[in-house]
Amino acid sequence: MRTVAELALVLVLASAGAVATWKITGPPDRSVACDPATLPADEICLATVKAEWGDVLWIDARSAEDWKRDGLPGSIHITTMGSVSFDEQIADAMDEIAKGKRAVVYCNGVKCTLSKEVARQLREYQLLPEIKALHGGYDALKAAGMIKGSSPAS
Amino acid sequence: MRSVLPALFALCLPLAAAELHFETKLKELTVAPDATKVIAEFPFKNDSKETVDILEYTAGCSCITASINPSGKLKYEPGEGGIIRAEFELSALAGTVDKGIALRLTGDKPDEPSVSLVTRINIPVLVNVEPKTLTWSIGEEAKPKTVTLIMNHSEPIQVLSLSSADNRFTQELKTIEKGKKYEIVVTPKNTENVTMGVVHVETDCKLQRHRSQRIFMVVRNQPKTAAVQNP
Repeated sequence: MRTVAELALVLVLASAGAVATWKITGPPDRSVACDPATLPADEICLATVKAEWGDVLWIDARSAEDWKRDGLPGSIHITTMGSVSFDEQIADAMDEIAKGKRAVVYCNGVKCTLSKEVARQLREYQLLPEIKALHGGYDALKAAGMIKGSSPAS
Repeated sequence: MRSVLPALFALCLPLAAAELHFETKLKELTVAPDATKVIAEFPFKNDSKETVDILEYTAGCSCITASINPSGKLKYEPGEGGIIRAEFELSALAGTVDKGIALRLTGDKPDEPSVSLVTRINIPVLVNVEPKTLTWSIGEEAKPKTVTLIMNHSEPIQVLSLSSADNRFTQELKTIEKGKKYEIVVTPKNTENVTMGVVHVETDCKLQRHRSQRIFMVVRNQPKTAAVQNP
């Protein structure tokens, strides 16, 4: 009985500490952690895109349904899923690709590998000056408030 | 307090990273040119002295269906093993494709799975287009450049037609060896402005995935990366 009481006391104290921390520092940071120093060469942090890359071509590598539902406004859709061949998708996006911007590919989140695969395949075409996969993908964009209801470029 | 400390220690035990031993974490598979599905299996065993929980297994895209055998078993005692099974939809791709599955085990942080399983799928390229993109720099002489098509199939594959939506480039088909090797010579009208174009190549390949090909042409400012150019 005494053990239970002691554990309850520890839990109450820990909870009080957590509430105090919330009050002092505000709600928890839900942004996707990203350290450029430890990132693989084919990925990029959202902070780096914003600070150093500026105006980029955003490429949504998720399914066409996901892109149409809540893709980043202004993004184009190129993926390695579905029934449309890769070069047909590139041909369909040539107007945007022709602008010659650096490109950032995103998919669902940290565990999604599709953006890296799409970026790798796109590099083989040498149509864009530089292509990276966004670390944290859609989750990072959402956490940064960049996904708003969606009106992606069609 | 003597009983509290061991209790706290026990609570912290699951935070230590667990480990499963996989025979391989990279599986390479070569499939038929018309394959639509591929299955890869990753056998594993708990070689540690602790129980290991698979907290989560996540496919790298919605084109993968991941499962565990024995079905639904997520807790593995020392010495126990199982198989992670991944089923892939291959869509319209040809060439080499990497598909991943991430596993989060006992002690892993939510966004840091400790196990990454990769299946490298080689889908034979029956119509090899090289290079995929022809590039000219602004101001460069508008001379012809060549793309080579080599058919890598047991049956001959013939080029039926070339088509392009714009007239800023002209293209000419040369048959080097009928059904085996072709050249497409592309010439820009000029290199004064930034321009992009596409040539659509239609073949008689019986497999839909390989039937249509595209060649891309670019006239651009000096690129930051090395461009693919013909001599």
